[in-house]
Amino acid sequence: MRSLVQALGLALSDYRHEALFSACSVFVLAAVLAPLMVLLGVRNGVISAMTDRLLRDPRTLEIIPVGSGKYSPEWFRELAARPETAFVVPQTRSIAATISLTNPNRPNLGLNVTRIVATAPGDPLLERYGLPEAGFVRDEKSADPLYPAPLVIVSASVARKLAVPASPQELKDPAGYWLEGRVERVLQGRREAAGINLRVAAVLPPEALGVDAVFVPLEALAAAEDYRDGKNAPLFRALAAPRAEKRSEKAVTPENFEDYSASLYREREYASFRLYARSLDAVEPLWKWLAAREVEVYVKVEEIEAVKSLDHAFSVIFGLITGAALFGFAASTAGNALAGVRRKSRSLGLMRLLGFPGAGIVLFPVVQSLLTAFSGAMLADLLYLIVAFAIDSLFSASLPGKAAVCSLSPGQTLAVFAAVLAVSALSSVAAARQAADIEPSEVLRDV
Amino acid sequence: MAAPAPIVLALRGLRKDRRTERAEHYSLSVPALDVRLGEKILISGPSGAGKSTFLDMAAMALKPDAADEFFFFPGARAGDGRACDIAAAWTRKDIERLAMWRKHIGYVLQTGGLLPFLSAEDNIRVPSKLLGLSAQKDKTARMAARLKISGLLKKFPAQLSVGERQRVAIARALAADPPLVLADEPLASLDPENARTVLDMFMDNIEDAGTTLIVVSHATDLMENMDFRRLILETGARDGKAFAVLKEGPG
Repeated sequence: MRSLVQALGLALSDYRHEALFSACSVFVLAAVLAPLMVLLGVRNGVISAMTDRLLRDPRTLEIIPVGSGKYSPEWFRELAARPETAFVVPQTRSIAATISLTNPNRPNLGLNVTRIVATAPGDPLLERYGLPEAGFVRDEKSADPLYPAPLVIVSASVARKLAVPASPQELKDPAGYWLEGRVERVLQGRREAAGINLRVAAVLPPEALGVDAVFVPLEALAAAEDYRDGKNAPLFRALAAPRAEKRSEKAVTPENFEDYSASLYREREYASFRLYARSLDAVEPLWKWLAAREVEVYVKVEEIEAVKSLDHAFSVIFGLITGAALFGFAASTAGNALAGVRRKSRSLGLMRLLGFPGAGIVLFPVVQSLLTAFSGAMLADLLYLIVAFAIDSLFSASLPGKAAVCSLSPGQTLAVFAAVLAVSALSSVAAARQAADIEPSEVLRDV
Repeated sequence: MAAPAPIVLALRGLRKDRRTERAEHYSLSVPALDVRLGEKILISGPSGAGKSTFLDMAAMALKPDAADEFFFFPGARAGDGRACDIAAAWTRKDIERLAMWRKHIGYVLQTGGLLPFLSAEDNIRVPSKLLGLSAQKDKTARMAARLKISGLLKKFPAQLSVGERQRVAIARALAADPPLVLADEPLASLDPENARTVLDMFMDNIEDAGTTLIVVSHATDLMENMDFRRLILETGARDGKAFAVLKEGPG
């Protein structure tokens, strides 16, 4: 142990004594490593951001039911529990899922048929564009509100047609931005209508959805369907004096609205659903699962194939470049370690002659190699940070979102360090073992 | 009459074969040699006879091709009679044990036996540190003063003259008080005047420490008047093979 500590001390003395040579080794290592780190950073940043966006594009991952069915709460629970499912929310019959919208501030603007789409926390389409969730707020527009008002997200075309401001700042105003909704029904030969106030939480960008749609909590969608079905419906208030409703089921009141909410997921059957797969690879198993239950769906096979082959091409190209760079790095590190041992064979022989144990002889170049590896990796990291900063400040403006163009996580940086240290240690151990095995007399007199 | 000093090194039937430029085969043999503690031995012989080869074997730095007996007694000075069976260690390829035993031998090479990356002082301290000996500072200073290298201790070998390096090497060989010091042509690279000085200092320190010394040199005239046990490496040829045998010399 004592002699190992002493060997370590000698290794450090030698490293310091040869400061210039040591510095050169550090520079050589950094020169090989820094471009490799930049390459990994770019792969990580812009390339993976691009492929990731493609791979996780909700439009590609959406599985759209064709026609309508009868889906029970158990069926939804089973589907939601599948590992391939990222998000599923029930949807009512499409014929019942429409609403007319008007903007109270601009009475001449109106939309007769707007799709009502159910959403819930975790909706990939809203998350993708960083939009807030739908929900409920106090109904500020009603004199004596019975129910809270839905907080909704509207599609870009709805916003345009109703002159809803698209900027989040304006929508965040405490007063809020409100629309009036109207649902009609014909009950026992009489035309009736009910209204609802909707507060706009956000506007979807045009590329997200090309149709008129308003994203609401499931309660609002279900209530619209109930109203159309002639049932007692919460949330909507009658716009004309209603006839006494003939109903057998229990009336929904503001007091048991929560029970109503809960029953939507526990008791009710739905005609349709919105379903998103977790990944491209999850689409097929989900599709098969649905097919086995005779649910006909539309899956975007062509888009999926295109995205997969692009991702594959990127992986192969970067894999090859990284492989070549890694080989160069390993070769230079190993070469450096081997040359170091050869160059120092006389000193190592002298140390052996003085009685240092083999482990000490091995330790000597290994310590130096590790020191070079560590310093080289630090320098490479510094160079990388400078280059990454330059790349980011030059190009990040041209990328959507706040994605870094060049980025390495702390874990990845650590992995690079570990790989550098491991390659250095292994190659110098191999070289140093030879040095420990030679008889001292072989190197003492070869000056 | 006092009992004879204990034996430090005992050899029987030691042999080393090697190729040289001059002959296909060359064989060095030591039929029998006992070295007692405190003895000063001078080995002479023609160039290429194998003097350095013999020292390397004695220093456990070179593997003999045959050895009936090859014992080293590192504790001879302290009255510890335990023997290191060098022949057996080589046979077992137990090079770690040999390295451990080498700590008890001081070896002065002809040139350049110093670690280039350590100062003179640190070079001198290496053997003591290896043996875990502390409080050697006084001794280093005293020896440095005697070898007239006190002012050079902070310098690196490359900054020293050849003669200064030899004195540092001598200081290092003696620093840990080894029972046996080997010196391979320690004066060969020095001019006559320097050689004289270094030799005097060397011998002073050997006497002072009571250490056993085996020195190889063909500068025997310098050592003419000194009290050495003389061994000669006699060379010859038989059946086209050159050989050398280590024998007791005259006197």
